[in-house]
Parts: sequence; C-alpha cells; structure tokens
Amino acid sequence: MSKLDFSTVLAISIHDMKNSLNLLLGSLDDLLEAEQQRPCVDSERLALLRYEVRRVNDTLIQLLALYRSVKGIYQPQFMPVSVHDLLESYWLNNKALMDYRRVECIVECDPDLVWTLDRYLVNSLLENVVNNTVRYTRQRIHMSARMDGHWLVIRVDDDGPGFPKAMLGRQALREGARLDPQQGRTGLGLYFCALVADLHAGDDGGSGFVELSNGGELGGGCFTLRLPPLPL
Amino acid sequence: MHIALDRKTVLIVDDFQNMRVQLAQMLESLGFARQPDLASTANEALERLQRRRYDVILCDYNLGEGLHGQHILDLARREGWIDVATVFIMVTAENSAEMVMGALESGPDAYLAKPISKELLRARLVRALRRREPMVPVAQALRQGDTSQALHLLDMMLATGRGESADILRLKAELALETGDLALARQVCEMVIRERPPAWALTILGQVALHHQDLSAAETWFREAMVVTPFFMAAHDHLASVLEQQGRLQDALDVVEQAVARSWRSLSRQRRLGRLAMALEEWETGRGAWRQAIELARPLEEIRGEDFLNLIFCTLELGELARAAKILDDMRRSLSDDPALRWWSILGRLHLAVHDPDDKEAALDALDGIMLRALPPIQVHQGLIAVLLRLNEVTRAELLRQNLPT
Repeated sequence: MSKLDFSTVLAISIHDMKNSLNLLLGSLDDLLEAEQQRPCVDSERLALLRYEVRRVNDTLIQLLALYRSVKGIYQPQFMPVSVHDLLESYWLNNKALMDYRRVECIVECDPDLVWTLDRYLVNSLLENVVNNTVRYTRQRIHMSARMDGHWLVIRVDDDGPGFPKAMLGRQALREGARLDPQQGRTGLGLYFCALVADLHAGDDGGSGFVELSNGGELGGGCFTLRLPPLPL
Repeated sequence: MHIALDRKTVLIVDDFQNMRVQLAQMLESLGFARQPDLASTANEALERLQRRRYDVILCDYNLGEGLHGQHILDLARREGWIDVATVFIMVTAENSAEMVMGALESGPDAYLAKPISKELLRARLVRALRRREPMVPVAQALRQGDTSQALHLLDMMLATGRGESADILRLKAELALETGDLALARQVCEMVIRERPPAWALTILGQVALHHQDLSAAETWFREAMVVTPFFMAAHDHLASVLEQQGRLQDALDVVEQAVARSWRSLSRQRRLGRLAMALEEWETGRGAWRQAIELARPLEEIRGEDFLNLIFCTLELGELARAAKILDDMRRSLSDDPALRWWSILGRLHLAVHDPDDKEAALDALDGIMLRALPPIQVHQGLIAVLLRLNEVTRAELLRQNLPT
C-alpha cells in the first residue's frame, strides 16, 4: 500500500461519488418538477437539498483539481470548444432549479464562437459561480461570452445584492497567497476560479484571470473570466 | 420543424445499471413512448445494432475494459448499422480530450457530460433529430445501394430547402468522391468554399487532386484544411500519405507527430508514425508509437505480430535487450490464438540474437526445425530474410529468398 498513488485513489473515489450524486440530482430534479404540479412536500427543503448536493459535487471536483494542481500533475487538456454549447449546457443542466426558484437565465453568445480552453476546468468554474449566483440573485441571470480584442470574456451577471466589498476586484493568484480560513468555502471557490483562469496561459506570457464587480448589466454582482488566446 | 418523439426507436448503452434506468426514465418523460433497448457492454450493443436499425443511440463512452463508445460508433458506421439519419449521442463522465476531437470529424452528434439533466438531453436530442431526420429517405436509398437515388434526393432537399444544407452538400461531395465522380465532388466543394471554407471541403478537394496525381495541389489543399481546423485529423492523415509518396519522409514524420499529439487514439496513425520513425531511425519515437499501437489494437483484437516485432526492433536499437525479451514474452501471450505465432516468435528471437550472440546458434537451430515442416507465411518471409542477413547467415537467407512466393 505504501506505493499507492493517492491521486488515483482520489480520482476513483470522486468518480464513484459523482455517479451517485448524479443520480441524486436527477431524482431531485424530478421531485422538484412534480412539486410544481402538486405542492405538498416541503418544496423549499427539496430545493435546498438540491443546492447542497450540487455543492458537494462541485467541491469534489475542486478538491481533485486543486490536489492535482498542487502536486503539479494536472495536465490541462486544451481543445477548441464551442463556447455557446458550453454556456447553454450549463444552463440546461441547472434549469430545473432555476425554474423552481423562478430565476430566468439568458445565454448570449455567438453560436460560431470557438475557443481553445480546458472544457472540464471552465465548466467546473461555471458550476461554482452560477450555483452561487442562483442562490443570491433575485430574478435574472445573464451568462454571456464575446471576444474582446484577442481575448475571450465570459461574464455571469445577476440582479442580486452584489458581492461583499472585500471580495471585489481581480482575484490574485500570487505565489504564496494563502487561503483565509475565515472565508471558508467561498475563499476556496474563488481560489479555484483564479487557478482555472491562471492555468490558461497564452503564448506571450499572459494568463487568464478572474474579476468580481458590482452593478453590472443587471445591477447586481458580475463575475468576469478573461482568457487569452492559446496556441494550438 | 416538429419532431415526433413517440415512435422513435432508442438504444441505451451503459455499464451502470442505474444510469440505464435513469436515462430510460428521462426519455419516457420526454415523450418517447417506445421502450428503449438496453445494452450493458460494447459487444451487446454491437449485437443489437447489427440486428436492427435505431433512430437514436445514447452511449456511454467509458464501458470499462475493452471497447469504448467511440469504438462502437466507428465499427457501427463502418458496418452501416449507423447511417446518415441515425442520431448518436455520447455520454461521458468527464470532459475528456476525445470529446472535442470527435466532434470535428467522425464524432457523435453531441457529447453529454454527466450529470445530465432532462432539459439538456431534450435540447440536444431535438437539435440532433432536426438535423438527421430529413436524411431518413437518403439513408434508405443508401442502404439499398442506390447512390444515384440518394444523390437525387439530396438535390431535391437542396432545392426545397429541407435539412441542413452544409450536411447535405458534404454528403453529396463524399458520395461523389466515393463513386469516382470527381468532377461533381470538385464542383460541390468549390461552390462551398466560396464563403467560409470548411475543412471537409478543402480535404475533399485535396483527395480529388490526389486522384488526378496532382500531389502538390493536394498538399496545398490539405495544409489549408489544417489551418482552418487544426483538429481535422483526416487532412493530417491524407497529407502524411502525400508526403510519404513523394519520399519526403521527414516532412511526413513531422505531420504525423503533430497529428498524434492532437489525437493519439488512432491505430492506423500510430502504425504510420512507427513505420516513418523506423525509416528515419528515430527509435525512441518509433518505440512510443508501436507501444501505443499495441494498446489501441488490443481491445479491437486487431493486434499483429508485426506490431510486436517493430516494438522489439526499436527497443533493441535503443540497447535494451532485457526489455525486448519481455516484449517477446508479452507477444507470445497476446497472440496465443494466432496460427502464425511460432513464426513471429522465431523472428523475434532471431532479432534478439543479433544483439545477444550467445543465443544465435540455438535460435538458428529452432528456425531450421520449424522450416523442416513448413514454409513461413508471407508476412514473416521478408522479415526472416532481413534478420538472417543481419546475422550474416547468407546461405539461409538465400535459401529463403529462392522460396519466396511470386
């Protein structure tokens, strides 16, 4: 057992746990849908349950990615990806919960926009960001992507109360930057997002980065991910 | 266009029973009225696909040991069990590199990463069915081998605006190329590339040029296709063979190395890389390629003695005798069903003897013993002559040469 590769152990365990969580999420979606037709169970608790399952799922993904990145064994898989499909999949996968919370989500992106990125990482980042946004927004979420100069900009806007002041600005991923245990999982989530952005390093030395601001398109919080063009 | 889901026939392939049940339930609630067929292994899936035609296939990529989802898709397409009107959706646990690769060439209609929600499944199914359903009559004509009827139907679709015109034009050009109507293939592609040139049209133009023996024009088309879509692997493969035909082995090797870096899961590509690397005495690259080729061929049961022999050869050139001996052992286990195994085996042993003179006499005795009873099969014959010459066994080599079948 001494030669056991812990990264593999983690990968296998997480793969298995995710399978279970997926079944759980699917069932909860069904229950939520049925609930809208004949409300009798405590539906608020059902929605909360779903949110928590989603969080466990996201935390597991983060855990594995962070572990591999710290150990220097994460090999990003950069591939050309349809950004519209990426955003739309995310929305459709979470539509049940959004519908239940009466949150309207709009995806705005050129269907032909293709970008080279690590789909798995960016998807995990979106899960992190949007799951949080669904919790705090009032009625609307706006997911959008466009080219800005030679860079890709992905934004998630909401009409909620916005981020606390202390969290605003560019999320630095400095050498030796420490996690603040006081911030708990939020800090970890932001660290993860910054890491995902940073792993997208362009030819000219520029890396992707993440910014939080308030008063965006919908007046609430605004999460921005900027990615440089990657060579193929 | 309205898509009627209730009559659609569906096959679900997943090794995880709960997942099969969940997908079946989702389909039912989306309005698929017919019970889907279920398969838990790749072989079971292939049996079912062989028996009947399905409108929709939902297939898990990772099916445990052996064949995976892309294998099923490739095999079923090759056999014609999946046609131009079939919707094939790949379900994956994670977003693996293969997901996007496939999407650009011989891939499925969509990849769905778990967890899959009903909404996502619905959206992707409807989108794929909208594209595929108008092709049903074309698929029917092709199944009956009536290419000209298929081409006629495609023209009708273009004239009436039914279906996705990019798909129709691509199929038209492919059919034209297949039936040798080069002028038509060219005409379609030249029309298509006037706007935003897609990699497939540039590649077909390259193939047409190739048929006309215009190698330099072909090279230009293939390179252009690779610029437009760097992951269009067919263009890489055609380009490599053009360069090989011209004897530009180093250029060919560069292209194949780039192709393998972009998509390594192709048996024929790895074999080509191995061959080119050996011709250029790039033993390290060659060894890597043959190793990959063997691992890719294993689940497909397409493993060849040559693959092992080439791996042994590269390993010996790198001075690793002990490792080469281990590969020989692996070959004996892996090819235990191959009637030519004893020939491959003796050939490998002779190669080892080139670097291990102590075994030379014993290996030659063993060869003589086998030769008393039979002549070597053709695929081993040349290899034996070559290795005997390396061992300075001129007489034995000459004897074999005289026995070469003509």
